[in-house]
Amino acid sequence: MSDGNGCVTVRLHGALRHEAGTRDIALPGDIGTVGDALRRLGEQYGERASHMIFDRNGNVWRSLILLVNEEPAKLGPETQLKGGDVISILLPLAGG
Amino acid sequence: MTAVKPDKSIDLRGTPCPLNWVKTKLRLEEMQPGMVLEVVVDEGAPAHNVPRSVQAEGHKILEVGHSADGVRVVIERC
Amino acid sequence: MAAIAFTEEQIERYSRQIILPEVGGVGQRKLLAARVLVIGAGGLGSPVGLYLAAAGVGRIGIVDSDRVDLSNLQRQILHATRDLGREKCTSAKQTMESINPDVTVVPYPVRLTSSNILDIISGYDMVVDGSDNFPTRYLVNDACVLAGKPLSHAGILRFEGQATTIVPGRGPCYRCLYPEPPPPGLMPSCQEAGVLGATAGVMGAIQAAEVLKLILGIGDLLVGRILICDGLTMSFRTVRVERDPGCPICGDSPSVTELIDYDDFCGLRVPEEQYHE
Repeated sequence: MSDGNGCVTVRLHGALRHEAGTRDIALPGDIGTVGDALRRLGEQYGERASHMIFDRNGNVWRSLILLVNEEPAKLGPETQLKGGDVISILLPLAGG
Repeated sequence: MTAVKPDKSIDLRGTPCPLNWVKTKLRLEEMQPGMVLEVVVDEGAPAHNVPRSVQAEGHKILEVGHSADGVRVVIERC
Repeated sequence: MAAIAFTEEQIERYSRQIILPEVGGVGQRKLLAARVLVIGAGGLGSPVGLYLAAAGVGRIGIVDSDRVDLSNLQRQILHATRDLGREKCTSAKQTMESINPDVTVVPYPVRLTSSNILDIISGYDMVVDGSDNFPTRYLVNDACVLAGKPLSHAGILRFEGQATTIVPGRGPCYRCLYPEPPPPGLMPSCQEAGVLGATAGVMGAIQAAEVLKLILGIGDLLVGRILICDGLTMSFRTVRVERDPGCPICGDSPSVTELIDYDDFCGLRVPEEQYHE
């Protein structure tokens, strides 16, 4: 269901949320794929955030759990997005 | 006077709620389905609560008999 | 066959859970006979230890090589000001056994490693991971998968928490969820990013509830599900996760058949770019 302004919302968790300093980020509705959204986050939030998203080979870190509209992203980073979609990025929490 | 002779009997007079139900429940657990347990509880809250808990647990109340010596609750273990 | 009778004190002590149709005297006996190993007597291990002792889990192992320090007391509710400087295991044992003398707490004031963990967990029916670092999380997961022991996992940071229950052979393991550790030093610890004490309480209590359900054989466990808690909005959701048939430890053709060096696996032995603030 599209929201009023057709944005893609990214909801961050854990260390990424801490690093970005915010829970939710609005990206343009035509951002492309989940991978494109992740690349935009890396560019926007700096090197440390980037290292939480991409491994040393530049691939999306395998320990990210990617949800689109609360469901696992069917094609992972290749999943196509549209305005109104909400991406959740989950990552492991080690604290105890 | 009940026609059913209980297999086991416990005197729970003086035992407050919910311990009277807990002890009843523990005794019922040790019995086979179809066996009959008689418990004697005090008037008042025990006489009200124990039969209700017994039924909620799925057992059958065969008889509740009030007398000067307390309240006899006769239960069939289901 | 007559079961061992409860004492009057036990009947009263456990009355509020014996009353539960899902527990009863039968369940209480299971709890008293159960053996659970809790790794970490810290933020998560504290509520776990407290609730398992209160419920009458008969034998509880506590693994923690640390001593109580002042900054712990904000969330590690097994310990008090009088315990400063004491071994956490000893403090935990004293508190848990004072709550419930039916419980025996076995302290392990050691660091868990590949050389000692299998031996330690062999004496227990299930394990609770309340540790605070990635190498230990992977070590504990792998050991539990290899030994076939159910494992309650949870992790916290700031106001967030996650929990899942790993039953080898029935659902995904930790590596199915998170196949690769992060580069060392990248993820902030609670020391760096902070954590709300009550968040540890929420997640630890969830772990304790899962363990009790496991022992009793009741309810639906968090197997194949991650429960995510966002404490600032107090919203909860669950994410379904599947076992990965290609998982190196629990998959159809495991490549990891014995414990490895987890510091090495997590990159702690190799000179790496550091991500300290």
